[in-house]
Amino acid sequence: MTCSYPDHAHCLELFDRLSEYIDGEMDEAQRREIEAHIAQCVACFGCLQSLRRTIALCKQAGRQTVPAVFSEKLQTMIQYIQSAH
Amino acid sequence: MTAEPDPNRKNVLDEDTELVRAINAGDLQRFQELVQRYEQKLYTFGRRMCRDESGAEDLVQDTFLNVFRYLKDFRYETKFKNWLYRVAANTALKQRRRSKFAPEPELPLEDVLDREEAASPAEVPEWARIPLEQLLNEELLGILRQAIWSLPEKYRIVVILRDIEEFSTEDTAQILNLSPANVKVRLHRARLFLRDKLKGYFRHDV
Repeated sequence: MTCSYPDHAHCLELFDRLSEYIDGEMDEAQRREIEAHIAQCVACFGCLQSLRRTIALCKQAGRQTVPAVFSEKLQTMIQYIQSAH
Repeated sequence: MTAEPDPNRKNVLDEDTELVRAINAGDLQRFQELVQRYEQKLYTFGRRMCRDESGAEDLVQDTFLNVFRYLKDFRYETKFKNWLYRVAANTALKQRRRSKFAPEPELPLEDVLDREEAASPAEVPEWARIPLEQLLNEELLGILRQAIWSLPEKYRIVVILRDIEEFSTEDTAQILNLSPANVKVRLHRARLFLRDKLKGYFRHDV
């Protein structure tokens, strides 16, 4: 690892909690600890930003429109099970 | 045998409660409304869970069939949407077990996620710095979709529910019957895996 921060073990410990930080699932004290660290550690700041970007890209990669043909097929199936019930 | 109703049980009311109650009271025509409400979301879920379009279509179809069959058993103890996704998740797991052609990919996730390696960038990489709009293209989204699919299922389903479907940690835990702590661990590992794939893509292609 090319971390320039003097306490490498501390970086790794915080690294494991970066998702919780991004998701706003930390208490105030933990959040401040992370923010104080990333303000002076370029490596952890880089990890944080690339993780944030990964999450943003996932959101973009998600949605896909239902094909019209399948939608019609689904409606037909539902009508069939409704009538059979 | 029917279980005795628990007098301390609290019903969860949400935007689907009225519709679900109406269907369960016999207005089956309104099931179509439920389908229209969730068809798009479940299709998105299916496309990310399954490798191909037909797998996703089977998943959506089987999920709605199961919902139709078991809706009367829904006890209003959770949000309806959580119950629906639990049905969809179970349907997806059953589908994969049935399929001879889609075995769970075995990935040495532990190796990929070696902590020393994972925490390595010395600066913010360009792909994480430039505006998202400049970065987006179909090739990149295709790479990412492939990467999501290549995640082992227990990680894939968590990242789909949390980062694509945007369920909370608590709701995801409820859907998958996991502890919130377990959801957080799986999500972080899945994100690191995907970040690693993106790093590889940008190292070679940008």
